[in-house]
Amino acid sequence: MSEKQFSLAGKVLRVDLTSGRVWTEPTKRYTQRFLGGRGIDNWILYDEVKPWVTPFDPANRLILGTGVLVGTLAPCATRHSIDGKSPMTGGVGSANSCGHFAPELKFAGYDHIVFQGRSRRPVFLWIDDDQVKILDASLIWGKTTWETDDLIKEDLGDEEIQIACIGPAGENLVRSACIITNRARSASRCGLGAVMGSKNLKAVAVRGSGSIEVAYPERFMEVVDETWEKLRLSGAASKVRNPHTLNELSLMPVRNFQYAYMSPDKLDKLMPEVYEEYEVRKLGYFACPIYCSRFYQVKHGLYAGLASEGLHTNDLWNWVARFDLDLDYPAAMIKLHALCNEYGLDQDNASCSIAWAFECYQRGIFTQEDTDGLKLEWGDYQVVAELLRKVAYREGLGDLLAEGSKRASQIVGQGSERLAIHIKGQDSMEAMRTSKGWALGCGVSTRGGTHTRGAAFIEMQKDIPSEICEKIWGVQVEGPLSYENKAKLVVYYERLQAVLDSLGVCLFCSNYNGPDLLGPDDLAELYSAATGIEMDGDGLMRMGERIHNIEKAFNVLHAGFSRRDDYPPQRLMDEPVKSGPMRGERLHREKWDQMLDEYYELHGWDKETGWQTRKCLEDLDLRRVADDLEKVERFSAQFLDSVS
Amino acid sequence: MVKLRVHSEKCTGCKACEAACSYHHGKIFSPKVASLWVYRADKEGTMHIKLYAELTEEEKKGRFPCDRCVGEPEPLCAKYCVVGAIVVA
Repeated sequence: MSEKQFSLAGKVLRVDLTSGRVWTEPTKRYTQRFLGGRGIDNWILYDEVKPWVTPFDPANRLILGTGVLVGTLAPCATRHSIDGKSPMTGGVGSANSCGHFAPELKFAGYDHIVFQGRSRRPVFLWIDDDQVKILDASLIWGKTTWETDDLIKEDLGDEEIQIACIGPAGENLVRSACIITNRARSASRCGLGAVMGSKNLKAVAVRGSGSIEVAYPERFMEVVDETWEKLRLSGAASKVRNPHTLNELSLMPVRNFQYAYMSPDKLDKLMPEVYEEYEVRKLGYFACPIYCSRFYQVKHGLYAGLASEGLHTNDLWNWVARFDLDLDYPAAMIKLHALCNEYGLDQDNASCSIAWAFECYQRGIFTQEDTDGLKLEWGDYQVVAELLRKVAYREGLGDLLAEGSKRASQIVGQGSERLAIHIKGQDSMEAMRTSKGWALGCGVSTRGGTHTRGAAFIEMQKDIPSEICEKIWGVQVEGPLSYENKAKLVVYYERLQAVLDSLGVCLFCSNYNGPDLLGPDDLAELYSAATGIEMDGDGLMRMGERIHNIEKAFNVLHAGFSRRDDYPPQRLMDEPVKSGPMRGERLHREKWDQMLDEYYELHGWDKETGWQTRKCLEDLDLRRVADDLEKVERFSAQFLDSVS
Repeated sequence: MVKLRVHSEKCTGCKACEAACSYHHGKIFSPKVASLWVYRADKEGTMHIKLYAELTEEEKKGRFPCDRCVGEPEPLCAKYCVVGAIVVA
């Protein structure tokens, strides 16, 4: 390998917040085996954080990683991965977001930042190319993310600075705290905002004036043109998730998953065209031809004056479905989204624990004495808004809900445990009774639920030609109700997602969304031309498998997860869909077991325990990981057989 | 020489034009040397695209002046602007 590392800034920035020491190391130390972004982040996490370290210990790491293709014209290569030990699960904590932060960090000269230790007072990191300073943040501690953004830009006298910061939720160690960039882009799930808060780190501000160079410029631009054209022809920019389609598939977590289908009349009030009245402009981030985001302005009613970026499919699930809202005032959804951004709350996790409290109230487990006098009645968005505030500041009932529904239910008891819908301890936001490949991807996800690991969203697409299915996935894509071939799809998407997150490319431009979008071969062409390291699609997917196995091993070593943790929430197996076209549908345990068997087999893991085998790890050049697992006897019987 | 027309109101703030421009000038990606600047105000949700046809002394230290992509089949900023915020007049 040549000395020069193309398509990278070249350095990993190390910051010890306890001593105030700052230093760098070359990124190339890690790239050959772990690509970049999420891959390198999770290797550093695995390598440096010991199993006895708890998420809020100074010894935990908070790692920000940009993708290999970020900063170039590769389509949608604008993402950063933030990783650390998760306060939600005790295993891998991994969050991902787009924004202008990642390219700015690379232009400043850094591919990753690794924070360790804990500052004695609140601080923020200021990176101005090669000038890196740890500055006092006592005046911005306690501020919302929007106030923080304003104050840092004002203080440093530069409107173009890119900032990643936490709000009150992160400072107060709320387990559903996230990290916000560009006031609205949220690195969510896993509570990494609270890890940042535990380190007394309020923000990272960066300004970069450097450049990114690719290995073969002409070849790279040819692939850029091909991939941009592919996205244009696919119509990716205009694909909108129709609320009615999701409803007909019973993918609505209505009233804390008691129902999966809601009245179509309620959805009619929230169709995308309703929000055109509020839309100021369409928004995209660095080199993104999809521009899926929108900026909204509210001119009338309770929230008049609100101006905010936001709204995506999650808002439909998290507010409208979860709380069964019948919105005659559509701006309420914009407000709930904006509140989460201001407080630095991950709306997926936060809405889940609040919905759990609503159901506790419905069933009499909570009375107004437990809820600070609030009536938690389904459909009341103002109560939801008030509870978001209470969670962010850990006030009253919010202090309990800040723990997430699993922990909260263990404190409350009285049968409320059954109402806590979580996977591996993290609140699960996805309805999944009717979509088996989507459900499997959530169930086995290394970060504890969530559909952005291996969930096979592709199963919702009808009529993909069989020759295309065979070429891309090696199997036919059966409909969402079928359990057939879903394990294979999930393994495919786990690998692809690890690759995307390591290259910094958005999931939405990949074949997660449709067969005509970018797949491993397209990404490999971009990667090879950018880095000068020749790699085909299979080679990239093997890297994805390695990255996925690192996270799996971290979970086994740190959280003790095994097969029993790879199941969906019990309610989704016990209680069928109660109404709508999918009435009667649920997840079946015996069929789930069959999918799991097939899934473990495809990874080369042990079916009985769900643990990895020495063979699979050594095939991935992870002997050190195999040795670590052997020491704590977290190997399968298959391993013991192979050495006896 | 081709003329460029700017429609800031259509801009999504993706800055692909800045990256493409820097590629034209130096076969690198470096928005800060580009002959145009997208000022993105996240707070207000507004964009302003500024083309640098001529540079002040201060700007000459960092940026290349716009040469309308001489040598390219079309100006790269317009080519990579998928929403028509920068178009050939």
